[in-house]
Amino acid sequence: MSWSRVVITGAGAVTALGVGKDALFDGLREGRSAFSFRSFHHERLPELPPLYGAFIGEFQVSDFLGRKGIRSLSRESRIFMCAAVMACAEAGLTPQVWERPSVGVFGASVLSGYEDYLRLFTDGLLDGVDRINPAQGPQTGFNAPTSQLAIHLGAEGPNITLTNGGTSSLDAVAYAADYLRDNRAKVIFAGGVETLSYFSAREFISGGAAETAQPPRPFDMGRNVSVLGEAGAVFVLENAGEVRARGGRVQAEVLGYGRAFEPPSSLHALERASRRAILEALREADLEPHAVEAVYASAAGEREADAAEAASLFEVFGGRTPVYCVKGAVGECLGAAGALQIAAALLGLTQNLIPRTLGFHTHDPASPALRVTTEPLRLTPRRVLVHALDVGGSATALILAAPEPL
Amino acid sequence: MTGLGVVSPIGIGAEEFWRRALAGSVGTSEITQFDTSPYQTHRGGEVVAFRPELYINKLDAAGLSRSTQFAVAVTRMALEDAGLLDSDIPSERVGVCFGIVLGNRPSAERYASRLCRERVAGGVARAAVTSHDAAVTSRAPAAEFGLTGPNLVLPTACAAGNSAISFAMDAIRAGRADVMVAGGADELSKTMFMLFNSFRSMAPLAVQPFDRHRKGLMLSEGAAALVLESDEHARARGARIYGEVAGHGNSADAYHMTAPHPEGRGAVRSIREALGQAGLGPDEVNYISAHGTGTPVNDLVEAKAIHTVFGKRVGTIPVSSIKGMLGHTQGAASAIEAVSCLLAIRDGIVPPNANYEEPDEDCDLDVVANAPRRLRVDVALNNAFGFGGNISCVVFTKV
Repeated sequence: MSWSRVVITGAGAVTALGVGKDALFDGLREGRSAFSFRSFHHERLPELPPLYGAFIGEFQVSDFLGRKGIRSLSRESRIFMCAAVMACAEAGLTPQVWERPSVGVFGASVLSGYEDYLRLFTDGLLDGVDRINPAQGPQTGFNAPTSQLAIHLGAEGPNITLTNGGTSSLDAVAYAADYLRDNRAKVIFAGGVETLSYFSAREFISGGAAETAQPPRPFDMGRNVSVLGEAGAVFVLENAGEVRARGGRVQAEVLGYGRAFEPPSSLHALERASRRAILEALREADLEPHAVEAVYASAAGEREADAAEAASLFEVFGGRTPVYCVKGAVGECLGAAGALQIAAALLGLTQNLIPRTLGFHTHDPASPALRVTTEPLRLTPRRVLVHALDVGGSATALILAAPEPL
Repeated sequence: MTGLGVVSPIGIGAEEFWRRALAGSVGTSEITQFDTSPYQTHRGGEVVAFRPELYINKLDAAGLSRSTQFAVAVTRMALEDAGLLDSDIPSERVGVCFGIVLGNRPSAERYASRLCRERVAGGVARAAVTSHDAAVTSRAPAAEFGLTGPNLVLPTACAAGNSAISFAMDAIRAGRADVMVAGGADELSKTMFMLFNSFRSMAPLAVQPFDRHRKGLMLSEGAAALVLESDEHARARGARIYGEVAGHGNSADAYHMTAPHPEGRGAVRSIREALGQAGLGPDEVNYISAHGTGTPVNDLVEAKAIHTVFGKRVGTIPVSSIKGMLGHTQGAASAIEAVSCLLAIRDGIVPPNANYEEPDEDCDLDVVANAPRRLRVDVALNNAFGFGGNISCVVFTKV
């Protein structure tokens, strides 16, 4: 089968470090993190203790989406759409002139629609079901951000929403790449979004999240738990031939991916899933491990998941390949996490910088010694691996390459 | 396609479902799972006499949501049907992908109810802590049966079952798996009842797809799983083959969050794409398993899309929606309908479009009215349309 080459031509992000990819890059370059406390309210339900995390600040959504119709959008829909609009502009694409059926949207999220779902439910209980505003309904679905973006951009091509814990947005990019390779679309907006709100915060707090008030420490000996974050990050993926034809600028090429699952019975099971996903990605990209010059790891400061990832990365790559963990700066953004890791990889591939991993100070003697970045590295990596591991047992690895002549 | 499993309001098990579908059994009735007195309508499709302990051995069934229990159950049935339960196929070559509308989200309604009732600060029931993670709908069946290949959940609204089948087909064709279990699962929820109540789109008494007097849909629950494998893999092990998944099409209306495009633009493209991938023309389709929810607008637009694609052949292609019998099983709907397509191919008979009383001249189709029809089916088209303009159509062929 003859496959098309798939490239990334645009990126947009809204994170706790600011609005826009440049704000994210500046924050990572300068070694800033963005953790703080935030209180989530429900007008008629009990107060919650504040949650510690990396939260997106207020910003002018209408600057990106215009004013029409934005009031009815959920927060996650707005953030996903804003990130996509920025990615579209960076890619130099113009929605008014593109061939609408050739443009798709692949979005990932864990919590999308959750707040609207439970708000609708509790409003129905408290006010009576006949008082429910039907305009609330469409945002209760997982697929609202993806579908709203398709409507906003006139993207009539393939439209997929997926959810797979912390690997979700890598899965979205990987599946989009498959569609493009198969010539099922010419352009796909792919990425993820995650926001926190009253009901999700309540669940996480009841699960122990309120006891955390320290930034995360990926791979560090003193790590304990991850710290939640909010983000939306979207990439424009295109068929390389189309980019060449329109004179577009390539930021990276998707060489391959691997995906694995293991029932999460033990640390070894997670390690196995991680290793299998990485080896599969290398096989698909037709690369030996030594050809990978940087790893953008999943580590979020969790005791077990970080240990499993450290073991698999060391087994495949040894201890010399630089490893960077973006979650030390932006938190565990669940369905958007992999997309932020890809964004960090683009900083390396396009601006030759691998930042220092915030929160990593002391190697954990219980794990093999990876080369986790403790200082910014001026490197020009040609091939990088982005790896996501979810404690639920899923692992996905994606290999990206620096732009080459098309 | 080598294995089938179904949990539905008209029966548990693919053969029981099929027997009752061909008999035109209507599985919708008064809802018993919760009090419907605040709502305008009171009927829906419930799965009755479902016993999770019959299907779930390794995992703690009580810790799984009802829809996840359904997903594990239909996976067991489908693997057993395919002769793959406890097989020696390397587990990493077998993946799982379910489509959902809600997945385990309704589990959170219990603690949210308690919050509303008591209005006090306090803990959250332990079960609610994981109700935000819908990935478990595919992970639980994988964990129960030790399937460690590609694993994903696709919440593409009411197109989700077909989306999962499409993903599974792609995974096998790309060599990422030899076998995939794909399907859909969802349970009834008060929130969805509230939502559709607010849309005033639920039928009070009966679901009547394509009927002139159709009033709307009925919410329902269930699941289906289908085993897909590469042709070589199935033949090498001498598997019984129900049919081939020959093509899929996935397009967005990109028009409105709840209303379909008036001309069915996304549906037309999805059907054409599915046929194109299958290498088939409109002339070769023998049966259309319609999305047919029974809402005035869905059925009208679907009929328009079918007219656009099939032109003058429309009057010669039997069309039925089994939602008249099952109601709308949400993320499970198109997976159950896929099972129906494959059994129609196997048996040379297509299921009826129940509760069809008076033709609607605006839905001028060859509706399989109220009784099954004997028919050789070589090519079946399965339509699925969802909120947000998510559309997925799949073509199945006789092998």
